[in-house]
Amino acid sequence: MDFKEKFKTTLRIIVPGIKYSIQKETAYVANNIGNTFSTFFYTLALVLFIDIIYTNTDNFANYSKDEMLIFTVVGQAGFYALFIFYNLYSNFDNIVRRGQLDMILVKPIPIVPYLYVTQMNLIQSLRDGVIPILLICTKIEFTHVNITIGSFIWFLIIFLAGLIIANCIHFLGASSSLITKASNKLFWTIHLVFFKSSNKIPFEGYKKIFGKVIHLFFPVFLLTGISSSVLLNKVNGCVYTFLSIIICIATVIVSNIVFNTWLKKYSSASS
Amino acid sequence: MVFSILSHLANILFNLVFWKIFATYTTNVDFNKMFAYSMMTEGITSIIMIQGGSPTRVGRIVRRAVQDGSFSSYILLPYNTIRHTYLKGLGLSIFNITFGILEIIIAIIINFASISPLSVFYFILSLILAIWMSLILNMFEGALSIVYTEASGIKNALAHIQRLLSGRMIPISLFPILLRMIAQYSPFSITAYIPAQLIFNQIEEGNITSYLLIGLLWCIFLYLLVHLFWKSSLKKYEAYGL
Repeated sequence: MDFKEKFKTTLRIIVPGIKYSIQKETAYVANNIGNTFSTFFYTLALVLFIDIIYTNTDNFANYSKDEMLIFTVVGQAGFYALFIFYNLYSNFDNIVRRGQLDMILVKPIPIVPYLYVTQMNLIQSLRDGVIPILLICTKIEFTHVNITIGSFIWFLIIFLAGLIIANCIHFLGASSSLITKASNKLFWTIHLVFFKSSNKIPFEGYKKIFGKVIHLFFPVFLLTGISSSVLLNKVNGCVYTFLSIIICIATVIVSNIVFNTWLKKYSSASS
Repeated sequence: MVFSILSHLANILFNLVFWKIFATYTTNVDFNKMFAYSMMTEGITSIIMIQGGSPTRVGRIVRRAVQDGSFSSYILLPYNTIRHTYLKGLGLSIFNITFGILEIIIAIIINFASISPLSVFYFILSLILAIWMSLILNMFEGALSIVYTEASGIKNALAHIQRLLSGRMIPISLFPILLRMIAQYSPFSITAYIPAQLIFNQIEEGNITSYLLIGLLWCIFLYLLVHLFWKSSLKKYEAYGL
């Protein structure tokens, strides 16, 4: 399949794929209500957590309370944006082991877009993500933080690059089941590292403890830690934006090569 | 196995960094004590089978069994379903439990000076209550799954409340007064905060009995309630997925 044909087929499967994933997401009413409560309590817990920290100190890793709330908003936005495809990553080894992948591979469609659109949690991410983020935003005194139009533009680019990198790494971790037949633990470890690095502790905190060594793990912190530092004008946005674009392109190329190599080595796992 | 170890180590590392920073920027917090507390609460929640962001191992077994239809075979077996799933959960959680014990040992080593034979005795008593409370939370999740088939959302809501009110995120003693009162006397405090404070002798002698008694009363009350809910859920259960 050449690129043009692949692109056309991808466009054709997007709408039915999204429809199918929405049907799956909204199948259990009680669970949908439960998920809404879940994110409400999580947001409440996060805000309380920040309140508790700042009743004991005025400054956490050089972040004021309002800056910490901005960091939390960015972290939440990153988490829910990543969560859109969480189902695919967490189910990948089941898709391989149950032989569903074999059925997909025999279809004349591009496999990666198909997997993404049929396994996405679009509604859930929007439903659970938007309201809590807005609620946290209502607690922020925007006059107390240093955000400029320039820093916001750098932030958007870095955030997007971080999101693509995070998705690529999650996808690679999950799709390693093509050769190992069991990727869930690897995926979970990757997810934990990304989740924890975007939660509670700003990038400046890690720098204080680990010094320059932390830059070795640069891609992990792009999505939340570095992007919020740039947004709040704490670091040079230009340098980090340039680096994030380079790393993003490299990650996409490498993950594409690795996935295709694994796909060639893949032998049916189902009985 | 390797990745399970890695994820546990990553969790410890993030906790360590968080408390290190917190202790750096506050004057009234001792890093060693806070890190020991954090390790202790993580260890306790691991051994009582409330772990990470997706807790309640037994509840998950029931939820998945309901969804794939194998729950019908569970209730047809001549065993007590709760005991059967609890023991199965215990087997599946053996690695996490082992790691939880290691975390507790590390916490004890870090803050050894605060521990006495009596505090260990109170810790064991509170741990029994914590195991009981965990079983209740597990049963609740299981019963919800029997009624609603997919109850992971409600389970997650419960997990977030548990995470905050049990003092796992941050010790209850650092909470603002009103929230501290609510959290201390909530049923969740017995699953992490109370045992951790007891072993490190952080609860005044006169209050120990009342905390344990409140924990016990919560366990009895909620057990009866959830047991009734479990029974009524089983009556409503319609085999699904066969």
